[in-house]
Amino acid sequence: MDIVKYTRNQWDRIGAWLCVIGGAVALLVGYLGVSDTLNTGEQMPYIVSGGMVGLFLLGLGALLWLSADLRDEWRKLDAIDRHLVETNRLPAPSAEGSDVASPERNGQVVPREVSLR
Amino acid sequence: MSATHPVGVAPSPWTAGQRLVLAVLLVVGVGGLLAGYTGTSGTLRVGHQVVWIDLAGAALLVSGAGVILFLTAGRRAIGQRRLGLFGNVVEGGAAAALATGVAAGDLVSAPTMTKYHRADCSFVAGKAGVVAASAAGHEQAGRRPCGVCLPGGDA
Repeated sequence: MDIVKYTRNQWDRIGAWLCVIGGAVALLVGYLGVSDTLNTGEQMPYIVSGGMVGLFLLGLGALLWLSADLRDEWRKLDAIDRHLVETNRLPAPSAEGSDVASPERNGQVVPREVSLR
Repeated sequence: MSATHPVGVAPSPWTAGQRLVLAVLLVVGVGGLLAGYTGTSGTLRVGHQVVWIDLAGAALLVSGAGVILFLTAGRRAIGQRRLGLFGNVVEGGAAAALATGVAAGDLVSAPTMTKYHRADCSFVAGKAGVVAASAAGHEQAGRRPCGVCLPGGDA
């Protein structure tokens, strides 16, 4: 498998794994730092740099992974949309601005209505 | 990346504004965490560190809220698009049934089909050679009831 192509296609999932690994390492470092001293003043920086940064990276990893899933789903809907247009089950977008044209809804371009007949 | 999405449809579930909001909130989170670390590591007095811990915690919550908003917006956009593509299958099937002259309550099938359906079932929409018959007639022809529209069931 072409590693460059794979990385380009799956950059978000690779990034998600890197964030999760980084988050786990940060949590471990934070734990080791906190458990290494009884002085609360020395423990506080580890809570931030280890605990909170670790949580942040874990959340970022989850964001990247879930957004990759959503993008995949969007692309599948693209394929279905194209197939419906090609098989004449969905009118191609027209320039006249009929109901086929996609209206804006909350700033998001929404799809055309279709009747699967 | 080439634009493989259909004309008139956004290339991704998110608008540029939603991406910008996420980026801003993530930057706020990173900035808060950096400030929190710098503040707590600059002193050993817990009373002074608590403020920075609070700041870092608030920044973490803000960035978490951004993540949740972003994912929710994407999920909502996909839901709207799916509804637009598949939401009116039933209406389409009913219109097709009426166009063929079959009454809405009839049980129908086609010669090439192995199951019989209600006339407004989407599985017979657009099928050629659809004929109506009683349930017994379809059963005698070796057809079984559709598992989706349940022609032998209630209503």
